[in-house]
Amino acid sequence: VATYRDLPEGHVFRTDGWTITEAHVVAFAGLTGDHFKLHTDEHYARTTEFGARIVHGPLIYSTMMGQLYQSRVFVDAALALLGVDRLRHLAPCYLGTSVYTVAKITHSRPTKSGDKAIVRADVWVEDQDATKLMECEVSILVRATEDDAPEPARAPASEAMT
Amino acid sequence: MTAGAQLRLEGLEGIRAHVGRELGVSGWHDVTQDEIDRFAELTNDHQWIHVDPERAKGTPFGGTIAHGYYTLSLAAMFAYEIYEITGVAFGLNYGLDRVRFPAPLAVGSRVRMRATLSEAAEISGGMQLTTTLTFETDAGDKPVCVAQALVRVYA
Repeated sequence: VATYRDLPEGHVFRTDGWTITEAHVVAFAGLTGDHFKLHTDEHYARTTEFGARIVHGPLIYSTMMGQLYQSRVFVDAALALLGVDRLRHLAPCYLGTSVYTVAKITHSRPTKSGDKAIVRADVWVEDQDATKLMECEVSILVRATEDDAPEPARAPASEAMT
Repeated sequence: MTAGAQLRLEGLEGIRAHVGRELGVSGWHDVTQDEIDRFAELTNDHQWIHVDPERAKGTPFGGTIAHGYYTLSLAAMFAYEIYEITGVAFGLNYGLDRVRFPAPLAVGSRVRMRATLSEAAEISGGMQLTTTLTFETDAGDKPVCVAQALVRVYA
């Protein structure tokens, strides 16, 4: 079981890659109902300044969360996702791009009561050429001690506060 | 920007005229386990609280809940239903500010989105809109997600 001590300030980690393919974009459009033509119509997309279809913004940050989940670093310590701030799309992500999520811990301290801790990280998604596609700040509530929050009561990423 | 949105904002003038006003609320959308499972597959986020109904029964939520990013990912669909902007060349998602998840979204419940146009600022060649999005569930009074979405439109 991990605690905030496993996520010290200044710690940086980079996840494994994940190639966002046409299959992801088509499935995401079908699942979320976002059929905007810049994501779904190649012929149209070629007439735009982008020159080709681009990946949905929400698919990029959802993939980012999946990569953080796969990395286990956050998830083992996390009790809840508190929030996401200053999320910005910096460059278009084309189909076939391999994305990597990088997180730099900027804050890792117990709360005033001391029974939980808050961890904040600057998180960004970069492509295979290390071009930043998206960045944000993620805040999570984490365990302060190893015996905190037995497994069944463990709050999920979506139960948040503030 | 499909035909049939509840509200049409005509050009940059139409946008300016709606600053500070609620744009509308979408219809309800069913949150099914099948959709959550598909979202987990798609994003590689298989946390059990989202995809294991048996195990999730033992939590304070009494069952599985949606990924927070699933809820956010429905924003475009709901926005197309609520409003459309005419007379601009194109619009782009620029980012999100202050995303919070005040309550869990239970699988098996329904979700809808309320949108308010909080701000419209001139940018080079167009305008940046800040819409405050509030996702509501029919299973509770607290919103399941609140976020400020930044959209840039170019004339």
